[in-house]
Amino acid sequence: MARTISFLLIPGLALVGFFVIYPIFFNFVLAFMVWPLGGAPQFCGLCHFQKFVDDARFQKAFLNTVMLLLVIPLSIAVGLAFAVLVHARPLGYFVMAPLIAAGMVIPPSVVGIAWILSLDPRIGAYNVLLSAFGVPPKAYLFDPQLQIYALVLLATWSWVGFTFITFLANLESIPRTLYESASIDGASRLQTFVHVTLPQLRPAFIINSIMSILYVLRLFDIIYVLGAESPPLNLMNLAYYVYYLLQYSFELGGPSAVAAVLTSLSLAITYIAIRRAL
Amino acid sequence: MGRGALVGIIIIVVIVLAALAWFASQQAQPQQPAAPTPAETPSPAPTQGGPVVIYGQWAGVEGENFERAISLYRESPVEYVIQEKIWDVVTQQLFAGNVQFDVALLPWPQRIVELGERGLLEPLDDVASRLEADLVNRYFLEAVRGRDGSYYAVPIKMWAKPGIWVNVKALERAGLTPDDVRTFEGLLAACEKLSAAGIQPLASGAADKWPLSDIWEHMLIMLGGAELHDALTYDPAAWDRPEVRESFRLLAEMLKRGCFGDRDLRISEKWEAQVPRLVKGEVAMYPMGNWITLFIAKSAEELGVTFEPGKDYVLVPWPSYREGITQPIIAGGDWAIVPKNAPNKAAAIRFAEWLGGPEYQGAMVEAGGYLPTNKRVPSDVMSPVDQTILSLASERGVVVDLDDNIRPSELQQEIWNALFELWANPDNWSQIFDGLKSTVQSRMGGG
Repeated sequence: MARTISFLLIPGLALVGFFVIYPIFFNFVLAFMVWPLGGAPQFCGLCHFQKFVDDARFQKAFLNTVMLLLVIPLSIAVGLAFAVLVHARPLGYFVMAPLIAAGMVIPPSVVGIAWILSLDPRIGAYNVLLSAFGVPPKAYLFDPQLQIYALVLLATWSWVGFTFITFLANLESIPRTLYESASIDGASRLQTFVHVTLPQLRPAFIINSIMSILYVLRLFDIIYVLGAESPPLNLMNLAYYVYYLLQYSFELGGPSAVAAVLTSLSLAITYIAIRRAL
Repeated sequence: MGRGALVGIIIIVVIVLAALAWFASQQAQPQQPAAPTPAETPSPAPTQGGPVVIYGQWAGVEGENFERAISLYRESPVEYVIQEKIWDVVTQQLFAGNVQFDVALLPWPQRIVELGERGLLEPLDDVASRLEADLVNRYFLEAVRGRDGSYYAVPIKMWAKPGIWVNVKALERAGLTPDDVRTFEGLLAACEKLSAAGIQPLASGAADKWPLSDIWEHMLIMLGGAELHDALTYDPAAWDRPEVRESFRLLAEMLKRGCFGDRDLRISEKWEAQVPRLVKGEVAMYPMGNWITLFIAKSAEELGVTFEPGKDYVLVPWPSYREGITQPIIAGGDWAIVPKNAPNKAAAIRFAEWLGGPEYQGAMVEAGGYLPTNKRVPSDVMSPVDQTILSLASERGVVVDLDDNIRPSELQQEIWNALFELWANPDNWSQIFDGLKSTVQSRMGGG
């Protein structure tokens, strides 16, 4: 039996090896090389990583990536709040649910364009609305001081649909008997939420944490769209920086080195998250 | 099977693949020359039959005119595909070796050279030698010549950034005339009067970033003339000249005085959206290239208003600052490239040559907002505005666009970004300039 299982694993392992492990590993190999397009690869050791120490763009991309990690607690908190709300079946909950999930189903490029228009200081709905209350128009998505925060909110809006659905699915599966027991024991609503609901939502927390980390580290499309006719150097995260370097340095080693940093970060954070969760 | 066995299998797979990766990268070295010349790079045999696919950025009225002009081409069918982010698309396909276009129209000569020198573009030396004698200026070929001596593109369009387009009636509403903005002092004074009248003095199109470099270049020429402007494209020491720092200070001064409008509004302005505002008189002036005339005509038509050149709007050269500095016109071009692996390479080369010739360029010039690189295009098909620009160019001379020609080309993005920062935070102009200077000097010096 065990042999049959091992045999059946081979095609799957081969596919994963060829399409996942091999590219990741080859990327790590390239990170230690200089490979100009049209030229030959040459081993250069840590040359790209040494450059990162003085590379202001890399540092900015790294800092932006760290800033974007704010999306994780925000999307989990907002997703949970919406899930609890919809789970209570308020009036119009069936309309509310798809609206909350809209950010997830709309393509990220459309999200970017829609928000550029919505937040435009001259014609955007939000600024028009705020100006009615005497708030002067702000260029939230273009202002170098504000745009990273605007991106955090935009990415949260786009991702909260996922966390909401996961929490909702988990909430729906919590046995009623647990709530009945809590009620018989005289637990308040808050105590029930803290001592019954939250522990039961552990699987959703694990899934949402891991998926949100991966979402944030891979975030690219929205940043790309926000760049209008030129790369958004102030908004670049590591994922975008890989692309930017490839477009403008005509060399494969540097982008691979950034990708190696990003992959290492993703693997390390995901590993820690899984270890803590299990 | 135990968990340990599974982990063991995965480790073995990883080790085997790792060994393969190392082996592949080691094998690649002796097979490829250190720096292959384009002629040595293998290219597949051209596949004939399909249309010549052209990638370009021109959309709207510009794109419509282009499609009308290329319909005159009879030798093979052609298909125009608009690519808003053309650089990204072109480089992705070239780098991947999976090219789906035959000709691309690009406005960045230095980037073209860098692609050509890496063997990704077809050298067009024969075409260049046939077109050379007909060029209005030799720059259009020299700009796309690699260090190996090959020409990597065909010039198909000349554009100029001749100064400021002025809505005459908007100025009049503030008690001004176009003559009042011919000096820098006059321009600053006009900013205050126009702002007081509730009219935005100048539009910039800052959200797209590239228009800012044109405004800055005007300022550089105003302060240091053509020689400084030219030196900044290749000489790191030129960035230490006081006029360069002064250009940032003066721009900051203009921004602080509200010449380009309120901060949050000006940094979110897309360039095309400013054209109807100029026509409507919401903004009085717009420093922009000659192609704007096309957009003005289209915008006036859409708004249902008459907005005639020479009457409702005029072109004013960028103001003078001090005596003794001749201010030439900033000019540049667009070029047609043919990738090394173009699916229809032979047909593409013939088409690129046609784009460099008088039939195509004559059709585009006649449509307006388009200056020819080919001097066989008869001048009588040009609009009066385009004729004025050409006569200004011959009177004052021409300098080539700074950010399109700076070496290495990635510095273009740094310039755009620094200027955008300046537009957002003019109080920090000195710090922003120092940052840009340091980046440019380090990268230009090979850092």
